[in-house]
Amino acid sequence: MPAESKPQSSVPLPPKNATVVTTACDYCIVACGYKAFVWPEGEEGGTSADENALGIDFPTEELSGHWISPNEHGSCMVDGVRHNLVVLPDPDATVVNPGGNHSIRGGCLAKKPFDPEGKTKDRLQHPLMRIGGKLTPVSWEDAIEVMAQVSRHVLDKHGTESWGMKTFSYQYFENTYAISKLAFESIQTPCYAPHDKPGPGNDTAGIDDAGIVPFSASYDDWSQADVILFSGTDPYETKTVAWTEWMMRPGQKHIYVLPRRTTGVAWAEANGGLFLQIIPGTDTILHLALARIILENGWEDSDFITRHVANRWEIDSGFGRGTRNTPWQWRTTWGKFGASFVEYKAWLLSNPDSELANAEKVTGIPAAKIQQAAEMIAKPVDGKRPKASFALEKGNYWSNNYLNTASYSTLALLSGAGNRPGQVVSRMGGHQRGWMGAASYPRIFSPEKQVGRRKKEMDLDRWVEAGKLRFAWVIGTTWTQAMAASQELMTTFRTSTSGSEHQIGEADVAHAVEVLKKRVDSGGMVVIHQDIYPRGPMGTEFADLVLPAATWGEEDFSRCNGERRLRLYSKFCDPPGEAKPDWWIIQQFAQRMGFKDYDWKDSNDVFEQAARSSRTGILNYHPLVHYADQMGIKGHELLRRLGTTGIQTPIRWRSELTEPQDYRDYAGYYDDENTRGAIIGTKRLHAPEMNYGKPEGPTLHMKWMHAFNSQSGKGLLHKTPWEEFSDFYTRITPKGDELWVTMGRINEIWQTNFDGSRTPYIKDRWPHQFVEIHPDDAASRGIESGDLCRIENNDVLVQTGGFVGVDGDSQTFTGLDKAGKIRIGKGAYEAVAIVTSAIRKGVLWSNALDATQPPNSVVHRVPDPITNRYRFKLGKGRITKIGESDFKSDLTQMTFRPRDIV
Amino acid sequence: MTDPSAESCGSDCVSRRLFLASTGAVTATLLLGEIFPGRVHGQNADAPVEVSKLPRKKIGQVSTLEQDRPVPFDYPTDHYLNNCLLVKLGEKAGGGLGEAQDIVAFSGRCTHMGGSLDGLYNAEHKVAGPCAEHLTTFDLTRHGMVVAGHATQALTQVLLEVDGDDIYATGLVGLLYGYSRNG
Repeated sequence: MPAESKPQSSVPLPPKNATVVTTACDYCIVACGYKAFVWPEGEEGGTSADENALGIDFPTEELSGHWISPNEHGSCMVDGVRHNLVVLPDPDATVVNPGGNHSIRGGCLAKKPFDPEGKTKDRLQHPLMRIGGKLTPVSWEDAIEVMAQVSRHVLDKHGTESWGMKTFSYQYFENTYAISKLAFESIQTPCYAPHDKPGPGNDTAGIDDAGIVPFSASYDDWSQADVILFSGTDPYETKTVAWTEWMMRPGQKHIYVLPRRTTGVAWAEANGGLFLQIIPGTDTILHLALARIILENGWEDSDFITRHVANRWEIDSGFGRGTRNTPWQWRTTWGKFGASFVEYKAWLLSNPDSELANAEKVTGIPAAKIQQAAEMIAKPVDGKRPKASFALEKGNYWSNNYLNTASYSTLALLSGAGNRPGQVVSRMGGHQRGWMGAASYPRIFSPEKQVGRRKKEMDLDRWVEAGKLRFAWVIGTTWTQAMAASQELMTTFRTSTSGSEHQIGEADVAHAVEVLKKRVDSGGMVVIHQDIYPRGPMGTEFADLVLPAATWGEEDFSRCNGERRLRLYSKFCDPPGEAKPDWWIIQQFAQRMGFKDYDWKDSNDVFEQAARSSRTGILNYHPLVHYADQMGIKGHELLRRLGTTGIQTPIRWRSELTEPQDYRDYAGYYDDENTRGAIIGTKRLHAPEMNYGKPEGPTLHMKWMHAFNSQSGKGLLHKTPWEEFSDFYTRITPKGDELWVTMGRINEIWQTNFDGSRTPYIKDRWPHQFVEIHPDDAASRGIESGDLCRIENNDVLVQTGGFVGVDGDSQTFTGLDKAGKIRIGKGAYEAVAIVTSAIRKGVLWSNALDATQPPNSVVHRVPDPITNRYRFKLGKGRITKIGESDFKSDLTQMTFRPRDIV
Repeated sequence: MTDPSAESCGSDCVSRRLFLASTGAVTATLLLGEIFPGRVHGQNADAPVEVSKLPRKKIGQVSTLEQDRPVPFDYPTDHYLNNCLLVKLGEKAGGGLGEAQDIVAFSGRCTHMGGSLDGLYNAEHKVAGPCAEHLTTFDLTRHGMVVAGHATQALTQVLLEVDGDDIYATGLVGLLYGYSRNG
């Protein structure tokens, strides 16, 4: 496999007359601000400030943010003509990425757009129908007609619970609004799941249940912390600029809880921080031990607890009595989890699981380090409490979802965190916040019911496995590789789609509809895959129709980043061929189905309509649309004027701004001198010190803007009994020569590999799936760095059925197993070994997002029964050497040097 | 002392074939196997590389180079962004000269945002960095590939030539930080 990268020795500078638009990065949650420069091929600016669109002299100065590297230059099509494109981190940015800081991912954005002569020439350009086994171009008209007729048949004959969607939750408000409008308002199907989980609902229920909005903090809040406890994430890898810009600060100390020593960990240890190298899945025990040390020493923040943590009366108030209808209510108010401080303390101190000796044994972390961590978080020094903040991500909530998140939020509240600068609790985030729900999920129609209460959101994967889904519209996700027990799920899909005897044989709408009706009536499934590239196997093998989507840069879109910062992602080039934005495709289908209120002329129409649905949420931008209307301009246009600074939601309309200038500059604002009032963003949620004034005009003052998001406005503590998880954990713990298989994200290809695998520079760095293995584990298996290995698990647990919980333990792992609802499947993947002491002994670590060799294949598909979330991080398997990969001796692709050098 | 690999010096051969005594940068697309004959993984010999041929400049001597002791030099000019490092890695490297194919040279400017990598050579891992600004590291045995970090280009590699005991810089692979074209 030869290297593909071809370093360039020059880059064309944008001429003075280049078109310049602002945008933000398409990838990670941080969404750095960027500028796109577009100009015709054959033209070039000069190196003097007056000869180029940047207005600066070349060579640039160090750290100026003005240098254009060759990978920041690419090509795109404008009105059918090939143009130069430079996508440069905004050197003038004052928020998010001040001065043009950027990650390697965003820094390669110029390679993303469709280039008919370049590496992205395989973008989907036309609707395709699988005819005689071959994907064949058809018209939009025919594709939509087939979808509509088959959908009508499925809905009429098999019911709404047979028609489902699996889509991205993040790819812009305009698209997700259209998706949710179709699924939840027009079809009203419960069969919906976001790209990263088997069903809708909270990601981090234990954080939400505490009354903490998982994206309440601003990046500036983190910068003011004395100490941050990072659980299950290294933001250096995945929230890169949030970390390098707002957390990599002199004097700030970081504690990392991870099984793997990363760059961020190395920096932490070199700067007075701490690394708690945990055995996967045991975070809850660590949190309990930390809480116990804090309470035994009286280091809890008593003033904060008195003022901001709910007592028993406050927990119960407002709920009345009887059945608790929402997950939040039942978890909070039943005795098992929700607790006052007094109740929690009594429970914790009498619980042997929380004892330090037990924690050392279960978590594998030396007791002295646990003790030291507790001191760093909560022990007052000279009478002053450290300002501790708490940041979590998937290593925490995708190993033991409810208990880990609930015990983490409890630890944070005891330490006085949640509502002050430097003392915040938030997710660091994965994808950007691009979900704008048009209607609520119709939980009442869900087939799933929790023991002792009413409905909960469904597990769509299990529904597919049960043969219940007949029509699946998949948008922007591979689905099978992203979910647990991937290979098993692929087999199920294959059987009911390409394995069906009913296949389209002619390019004829009536024939296609007839065949697909026969398929669904005989228990099979019709799949529509909508994406930007052909993606296997969902698009290339299973789908009957493949629809080409337009994406970043090809349409005006909007969404928020990890501090709720709303920006316009401007259009600057053509989509490929007949590709259309997702909202347009949804619109065509909905109108063909006869659904009302889809009369959008452009994406701004969708944006403005969707604003109504944002009003009571943390992404509320309705006041911006209102203000734009006052100004006589479009909503998108006002957002465009806010540039890369944007504005933090919830947006407020005020007759007169009273916020100090630094607050305005950070949160974003717009004050048009010819228009009454102004709009301003909201920097931090849960801000009791903030004077928002009176609610004016379209402004809504939600409780969680100043208080916590609970009925009393106070934070809620939770007991987290280990036995809710221990039966499953004991069963899946590796035995004999098995190792834990856990996975995560890696800086250079995090969230970008669908594009990165087409960018030679990136592909040469990570040309293949890899697996990190400890030297001791490697030596005993004869494995060296560069060896190609196979990781296999023939004991992949898959839950079947168990949708309705009736009695006590029917939905626990033990209960499901007893009832014969756990079957054993298989899974394997191949990876190039990287032997490194960075990974804990007994644990393997791979890239979670490799769609060609998905490590989710060796992960059990048994969701957390409390929240229906997978334990993605807790796979297991045996690793064996297959042979040597080319990369072992190749000096141009892949490197095996450690990443934790500081 | 005569360097036995000097005879197979690709950059020298290339310069004679394509351009003589160039004064400014001359850009040519060459194959990796032509630039570093015999020192490239066989499968990669045909990989195209864009090379900036620049004025030849003596930067050191093989006999005085000590393993893992980088020698700073400026190239192609003495502009402050042109600081480079010459290092004998003690390990075979992509484009490495000398008997052990371990003598390489790179720009000393991080290709993320231009932080200086002077004094930031990690002998244990043969890595440049981490850059003090944002911690990017570069593998000097693999043509300056990013190990971890944010640079959107590998560390710019300096083409070398050995003439007797003398080591010359002759050109660059990759774009120098701060510039729109080399030289």
